[in-house]
Amino acid sequence: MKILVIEDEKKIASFIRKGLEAQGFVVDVCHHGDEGFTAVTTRPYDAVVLDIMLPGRDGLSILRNLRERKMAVPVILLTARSELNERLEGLNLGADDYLTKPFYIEELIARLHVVTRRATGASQSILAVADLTVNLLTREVTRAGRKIDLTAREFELLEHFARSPGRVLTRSQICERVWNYDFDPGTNLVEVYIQRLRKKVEGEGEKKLIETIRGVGYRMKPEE
Amino acid sequence: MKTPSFRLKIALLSAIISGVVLVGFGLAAFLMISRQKTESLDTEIRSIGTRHPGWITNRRDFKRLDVALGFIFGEDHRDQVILMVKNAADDTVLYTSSGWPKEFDHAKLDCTLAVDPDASGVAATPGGDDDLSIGRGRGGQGRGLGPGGGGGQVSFTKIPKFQTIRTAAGEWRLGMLGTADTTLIIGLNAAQTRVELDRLRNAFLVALPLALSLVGLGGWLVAGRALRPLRMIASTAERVTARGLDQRIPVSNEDPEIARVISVLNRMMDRLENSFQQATRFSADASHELKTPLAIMQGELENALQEAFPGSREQQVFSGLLEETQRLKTITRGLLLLARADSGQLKPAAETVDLTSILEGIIEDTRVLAEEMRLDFEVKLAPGINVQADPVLLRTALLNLFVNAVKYNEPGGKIQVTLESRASQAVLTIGNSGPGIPEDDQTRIFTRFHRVDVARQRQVDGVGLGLSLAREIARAHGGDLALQESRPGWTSFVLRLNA
Repeated sequence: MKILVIEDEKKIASFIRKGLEAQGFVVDVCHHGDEGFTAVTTRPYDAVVLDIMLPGRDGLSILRNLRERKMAVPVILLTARSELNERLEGLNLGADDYLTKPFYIEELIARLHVVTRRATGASQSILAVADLTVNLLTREVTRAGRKIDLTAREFELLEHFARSPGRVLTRSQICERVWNYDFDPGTNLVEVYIQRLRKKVEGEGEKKLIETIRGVGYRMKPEE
Repeated sequence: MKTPSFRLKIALLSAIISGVVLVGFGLAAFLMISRQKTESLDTEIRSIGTRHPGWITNRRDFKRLDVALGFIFGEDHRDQVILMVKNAADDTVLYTSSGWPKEFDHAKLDCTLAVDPDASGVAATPGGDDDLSIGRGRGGQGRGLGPGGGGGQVSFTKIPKFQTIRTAAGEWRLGMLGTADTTLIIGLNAAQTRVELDRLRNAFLVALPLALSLVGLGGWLVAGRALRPLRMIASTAERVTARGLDQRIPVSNEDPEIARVISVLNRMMDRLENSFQQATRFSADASHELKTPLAIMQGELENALQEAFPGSREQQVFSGLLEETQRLKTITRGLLLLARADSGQLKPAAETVDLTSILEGIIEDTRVLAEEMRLDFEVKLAPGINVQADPVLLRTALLNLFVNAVKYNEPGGKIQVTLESRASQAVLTIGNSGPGIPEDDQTRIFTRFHRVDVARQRQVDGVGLGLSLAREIARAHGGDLALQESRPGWTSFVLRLNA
């Protein structure tokens, strides 16, 4: 998948590139608004990560121009501001999603998956890790044909892991992603849910799926 | 006792001051008038004595003088004028007019007169007996002896003495005029003067309270008028508290003194607003500027974490740093929100939010958070309560309250949540069985970075922005957050939001 990142802060652009490439994305980076606009209008991309504050043409005007030209490429806006008004303005202009700095790369990846899937149709609506399948549309989970009932939270947690198998997720990352907490409530919320999820997903005699990385967090075991 | 209003004080004070001044003036005027009246009587007495020389020449014709007076004063002269003549040497009475009040003991009169050094002896002119030709004015007003009283004048060689006496019949002004051997005592009826003075006094006594109430009323009105700018200043000050520092007192045709006060206050407000804005902007800018480096740190750490060998020492360090970055991020966001609230820019975009269902979700999570501490939940949520709120901000506020309710609880304790609709407001009460907030701390718990130190083993995590943030969010939504009660074993907060 080919992603264009338009972000003037070089270090931010650099870690986004690193993070996305590690997940197998192909990444182009532009540091200037005009340059970015030329790139997005001339080359095909699967998605654009667009900063709002840019030298030259700013993010919102790039977005407006794209939509006026009926270019439907999915756009995720990045901004340092978090006002709902700006959020709504961006979404009204046709942004597919919105991230407030600072954000987790991992969050950006998850959202990129969502917006590209939305753009390409339902082809990627099923996540499969080993013998586990997670259907994002019907919200059905099966393991080796066995149907698993999950609560809404448990499903979100599992979806989160299944999106990036092999990736280590820390407690705060999980908190922010699944619970929308922008702080670590400091107790065992994540731990308790992981235990519950394990009980349901890892039946007797089945291989362990969710691995605890001591002192770091959790990850879904990568396929061997 | 309540202090009476400044307006009332002004009214009373002006009435009192005018009262004192008026009474003073009235008394002085009264005294002057009464003295002047008396003096005019004295002058008349003197002139009566001086103009009738006949009696002095032979010391027998006192009767003639009496008759002459009868002509002057008319038929009722007995009531108007009295006469007595005494021998100066032995104080024996030589003549008494018929009108002399019997009940008045003439012996009481001190008739000794001092010799006037300026008088030039007896200058009495033996003259014609034409006393009767003296002007014949009649009546009270016509007492004055007409001009052209012929026959010369009597010169009294002694300093005359005057005295007012009161008898049952009335008041008399007596004048004692003396030649070397004779003392002439002439009395004029002073009743008329007394009546006039009394009338004057009565008029004053009636007019005084009337004038005072007018002055008081005037003072009240003037004070009200003068205090109007003050009320305007007060109402502006109230608006400053309610709506922010951009309020100014309108300057409109005020008197110079008031205009000065207003302009000084406005300038003070300008400066306050300025420095406040600077502080707020600084805090907002600082938080904003922190975001980029934080984003870089977080992104790089995240990448490094993924690249590190699972479970390695490096990965643990990265993870730890990432958690700290998260904390910094939380503080930064909190400060930015508070800075915006301070500058009145926290204007939540209101949507209709189902508070009941948001709470259900949060409570579900809180139960998990509380599992370790075996907390007991008592939840009473009225169904389908909607509020107008920014869902992200509202969630932040609620999470802070719930996390606190767990954090500051005792193991095996209780959390009580009630949501109800009261007078177009959603009222959420969250109680916990924590050890309570010390009284000294109760007023400070909404202060930024303030944390109550609870004597307990478990370290309470957090940065102490939660409650102030939650309160600012509630207020930005037109609601409020308050500590309902706190005693050992029970602490509860109440959050009100507009439906």
